[in-house]
Amino acid sequence: MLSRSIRLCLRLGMYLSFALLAIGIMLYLWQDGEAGSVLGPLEALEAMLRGEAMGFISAGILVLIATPLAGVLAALAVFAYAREWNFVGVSLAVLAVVALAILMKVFA
Amino acid sequence: MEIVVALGIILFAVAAGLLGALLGLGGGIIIVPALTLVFGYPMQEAIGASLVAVIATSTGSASYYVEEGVSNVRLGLLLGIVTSLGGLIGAIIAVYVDQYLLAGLFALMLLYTAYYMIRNRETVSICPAGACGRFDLTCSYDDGNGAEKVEYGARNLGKGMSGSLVGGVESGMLGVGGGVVNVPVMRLWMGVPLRAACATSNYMIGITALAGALVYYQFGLISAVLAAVVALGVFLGALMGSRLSKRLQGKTLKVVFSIVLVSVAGLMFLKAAGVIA
Repeated sequence: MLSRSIRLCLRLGMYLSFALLAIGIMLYLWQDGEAGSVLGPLEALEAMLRGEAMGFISAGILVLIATPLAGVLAALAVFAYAREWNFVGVSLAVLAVVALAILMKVFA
Repeated sequence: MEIVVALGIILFAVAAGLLGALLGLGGGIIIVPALTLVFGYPMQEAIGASLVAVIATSTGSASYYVEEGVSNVRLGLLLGIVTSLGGLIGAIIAVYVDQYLLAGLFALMLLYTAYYMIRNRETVSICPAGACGRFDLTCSYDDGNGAEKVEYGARNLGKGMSGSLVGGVESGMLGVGGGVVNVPVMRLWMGVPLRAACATSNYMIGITALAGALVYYQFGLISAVLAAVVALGVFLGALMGSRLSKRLQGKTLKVVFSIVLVSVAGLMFLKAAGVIA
C-alpha cells in the first residue's frame, strides 16, 4: 500500500508537470514570449486561463516541485492508517523542514 | 530565449539525463557546468534550474524503483529529514555566497565525483534484517536473477544521518542530487546493498532538492523557461538511458566520463579564478 500510494503520486505529478511544461514551451516559442522567474500559484493559474505560456510553464514547475511533497503526504497517510507512529513522526519531521523552507523568505 | 539556445540547452539536458540514468547520478554535474560555461548563465540561476531537473530525474526514476520495491521508503524518509535540512541550509548559503566561490566548490565536487566513479569498490557486509534502534528499516527486493529475495536492514543510523546531512548541503548549495554522498553512506556505513542504496538515493534526492528548490523559488532564482527546457530534456534523456542501461557496459563509460569530469573541473577552477567569464 505504501509503495502503491507513493508511486501513484509520483507518476501523476510527473505526467501532469511534463504535459504543462511541454504545452508551455510550445506556446512560448509560438508566442515569442518573454522569460522571467516562476510565477506564484494564483498568478500562474490566471496566466494559464489567459492562454499565456508563462502560466503553463510556471504551473508545470510548481507541480513538479510539489510532487515529492505529495509523496511524503501519501506516506504520512499510509503510516497513520497502519498506526506506525514512529514513521508518522518521521514524515511529519520531513514536512516540518519543507514548511521551514516555504517560510524561509519571511525569516530572511 | 532564442530557439537555437533552447535547442542547445535541451541537448545538454538530454545528455545529462541519459548519463545520469546510465551511471546512477543526478544530472546536475553536467547541467550546472553547461549552463555556466557554455551558455553564460550565473551560478545561482544554473543551480536553480538544476534543482528542478534533479526533482524531475528523481520523480521519473523513483516511481519505477518504488514500484519494484528496490527503494527503501522508510530509510529514505528517515535520512530525508537531514538531507532536506541540509538542502535548505545549502541553498541559503548559495543565495548569499559569491558565484566564483560556488564555482570553485563545484569544481572540487566534480573531482570527488570522478574519483568516486573509478575507485575500486570495497567489499562491505550487508546488514542483516532487524530493527535499528526504534526503527525497523528491514526491506527486501527481487534481485532479478531468479534467486531468493535480498533481505537486509540498516545499522549506524546516527552516523548515516550525519553523513547524509553533508549530501543535503552539497545538493542545496551546488544544485546536484547528492547521490555521490548518500550512496556510499548507506552502503559503507549502514550496510545497505548497493542496488537498494542507489534506488533509495534516487527517491531521497527529490525530497532533498525540494527544500533547496523552494528557497531558490522564493528568492526569484528559478528562471521559468530555463528550468522548463532543462527539465524536459532531462526527462527525455532519462527515458532513453533507462532503456539503454541494460545493453551498455558501464565500466568504460565510467572511465571516459571521469576524464570529462576532471576536464570540466579544470574549467570550473578557471571560472572560479575569474580567468574565464
